[in-house]
Amino acid sequence: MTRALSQNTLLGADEVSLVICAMAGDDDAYGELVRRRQGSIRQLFRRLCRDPTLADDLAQQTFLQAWRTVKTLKSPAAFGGWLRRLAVNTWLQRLRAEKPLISTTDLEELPDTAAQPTLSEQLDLDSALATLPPDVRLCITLAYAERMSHREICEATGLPLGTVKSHITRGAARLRGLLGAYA
Amino acid sequence: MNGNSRPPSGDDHDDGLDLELLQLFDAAATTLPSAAVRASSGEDFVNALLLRIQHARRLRLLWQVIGVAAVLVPGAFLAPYVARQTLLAAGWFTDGLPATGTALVSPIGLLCAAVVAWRVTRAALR
Repeated sequence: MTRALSQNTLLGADEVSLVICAMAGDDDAYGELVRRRQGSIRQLFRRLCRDPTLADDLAQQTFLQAWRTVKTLKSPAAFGGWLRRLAVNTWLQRLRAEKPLISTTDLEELPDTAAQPTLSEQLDLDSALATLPPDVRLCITLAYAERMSHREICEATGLPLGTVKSHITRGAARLRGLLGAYA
Repeated sequence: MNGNSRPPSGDDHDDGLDLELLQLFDAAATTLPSAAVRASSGEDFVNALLLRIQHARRLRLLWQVIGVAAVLVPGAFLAPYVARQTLLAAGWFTDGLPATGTALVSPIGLLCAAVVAWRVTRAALR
């Protein structure tokens, strides 16, 4: 009965209260936070890596890291943004473990599909995203899918503001080319 | 979108963003296969994570126990040696003190020294 009441309280609790409880070591509150946030974090990773299994594994790593460090969170209200930054860090660590980030020059070296998109290049959004270099894909996903500002992306990724803006502009241009149907 | 729609959070948010691309991302978010998968496997995901958390908690506890043991066990072995060395050092220190110094430090010595000092001072003032 107590457990059921507790569950009902958790379900009705606002996020800030849950974060405060989680910071005090309440695993049930943290579980409820995960329940509420897992969809967006998993979807972010699915967009970035296009592999559902890997995406879920990275999302688990992110939530595990968040559980370990939630006590260091300064403002409970900032939990969402903090979690997203952890997710970005997890993704960047994954990229660094695989290979160094591709620089903007690599994007310039890609064939200019924006000029004349062929039928085979009329790709769906995810496939088009997959053709972008990892750091450009990350910036585009954070800007367009997560609606993060340039400055937030800059802070989350550690990339200079100019580079973030350049990645977003160039990446969007390339996406427009690949998704020529609506361009 | 993505189940967590929120207004733009930065003043430079709309700078350089393509509105058509934004709409496309919004539309894709609702049709993404993960959206359906998310609803069905969300609870599995949470349960798997909670298991990992329990595992991590056990592992952390184990490391804490190992850490405490790493301090206490050598401490228990070294305690007699440390006590013996402390006694030796204290003995050496007291042996090294001059006898007059030792006498002055004792209560009787202090009393005698105070009487002598009082008499000397009194004689000097006369």
